[in-house]
Amino acid sequence: MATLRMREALRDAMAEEMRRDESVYVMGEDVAVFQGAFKVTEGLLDEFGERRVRDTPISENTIVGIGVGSAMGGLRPVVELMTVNFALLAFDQMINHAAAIPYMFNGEARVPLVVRMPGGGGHQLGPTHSHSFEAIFLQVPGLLVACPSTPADGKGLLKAAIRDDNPVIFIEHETLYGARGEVPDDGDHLLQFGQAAVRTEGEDVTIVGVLRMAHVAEQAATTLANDHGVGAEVIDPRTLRPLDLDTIVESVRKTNRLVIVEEGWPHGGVGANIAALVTEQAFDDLDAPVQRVTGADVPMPYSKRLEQSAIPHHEHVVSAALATLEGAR
Amino acid sequence: MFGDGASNTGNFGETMNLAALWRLPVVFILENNLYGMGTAVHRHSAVTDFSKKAEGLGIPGVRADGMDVLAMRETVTEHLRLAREERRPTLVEAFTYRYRGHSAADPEVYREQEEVEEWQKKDPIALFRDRLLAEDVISDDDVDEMRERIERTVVEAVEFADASPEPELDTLYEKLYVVGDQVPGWYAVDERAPQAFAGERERDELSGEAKKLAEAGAAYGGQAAATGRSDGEALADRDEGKAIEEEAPE
Repeated sequence: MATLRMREALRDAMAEEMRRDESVYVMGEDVAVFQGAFKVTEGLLDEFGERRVRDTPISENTIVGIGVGSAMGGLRPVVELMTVNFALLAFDQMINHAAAIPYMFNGEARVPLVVRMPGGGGHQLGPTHSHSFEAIFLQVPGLLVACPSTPADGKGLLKAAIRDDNPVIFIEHETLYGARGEVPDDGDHLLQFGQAAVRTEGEDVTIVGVLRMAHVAEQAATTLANDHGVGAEVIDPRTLRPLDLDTIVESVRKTNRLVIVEEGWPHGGVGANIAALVTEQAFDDLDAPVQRVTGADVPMPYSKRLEQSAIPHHEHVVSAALATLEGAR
Repeated sequence: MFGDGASNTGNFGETMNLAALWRLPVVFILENNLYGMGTAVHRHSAVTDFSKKAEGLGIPGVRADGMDVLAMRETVTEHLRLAREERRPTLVEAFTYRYRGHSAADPEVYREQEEVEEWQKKDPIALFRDRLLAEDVISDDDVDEMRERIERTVVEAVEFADASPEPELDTLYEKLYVVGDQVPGWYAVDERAPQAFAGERERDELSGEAKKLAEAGAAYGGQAAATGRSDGEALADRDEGKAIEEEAPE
């Protein structure tokens, strides 16, 4: 085990896979000479050279298109998009092409592509750089969607994503790049997609937190335990497609209450999706309406005060959890 | 290869710049048939000499007579040489025409029939045939034999397609994902019927209510054949915004 920051864990994942497999290469805006807008690709150019670590023009749709084409041709591209917001320019290639090509060609063509992108607010980058679009990607059949919240998960999921033959949307969080955590040294440390992590066990309420909100949910669980005597079970789904619904439903059968926390918008969000699925699967086990804690229904404000007020904090989660317990205690 | 219409997308500029920047060995063939679906080139592109359109992005181009088989061959051969031997990406504009509508649902209100007929006089296949006949490369018998052979190939392809069985309903979710470490089984969320949903990892073959609903849906797929209408007609209805449901089912 080594203590690494998220950005180092992600970099190690790419470097290890590039050493292991000649067909893996990295491409994106400012990934080579500049070493990544968030320094995630630091050192890769030095070790692997210009052929495998490629700076590109600001041409998102074409960069992802090159990724799709080269993946079909037998390479394993890791494309970095500078933010989730810029990924919108490449939706044609990600959704109309990467996700649909294996199906359109009856499995005769494969797209082993990883598209990495950071999202989320907290750095005052305004509405063009800090949105959360997990829910949009989650909707697309043919894609896998990862959203790691710890360095160990980041490394394990990214290595698994690079080795897998399906197109993977890999969503990182801008404010988690500096977060430290224990990371296994094992070069074959791979995580299984569709396997949630239970961060904290509890009997009274289940809290599902996505990306940075998994940490916020854990903070809330501490407050709930210390100040309210409530045992919260915190689940980090780690991948949204496939979604480990079994672990969530199993927890709800125990706690009979569910809160979902995400940074994205409320309508049609990750929480809306999980709430619907849990209602279908475990309606009789719910003792209270499912609560969603989401980002505010506005473009991300620039002002620090407003930005922070638009992002969920642990107080919101505590309040939602207590609401599910109203009358029960 | 792409058409005059596609040269207006942002991807055209992105791609030309990248191909020139990375010196990719590519020949871009821009088929200018004077219409992007139903919009004439002068109504959709400020620059209608498409051979010039990528020049500022580092991709020189030429216009070739897309109605002349040998002219196209000569031009593309030279540009392939530039790509292969000098890694110089270039663009060849094939100046040509489209006789038919964009689709079966195209009423062709955007052009006169005389214009189509003028272009048909320059038909590249007919002209090349005449030249081969005039220069005694082939005989009339050869032409007849070729036409019959090609017709036979097309007819056989249509017969093969018509005779091919419809896919089994169980295959709806097949080949959506590459089954492997991260996707261990039949992987889908199908919320249209509660019985059909059995988690995201695996589910059994269609049975019970799920099977009934799948068959009910598939029955709509057989409607065109059942009413004796062509797919072209069905497409026309769709394009005109007519609800398929308005058709009386038989």
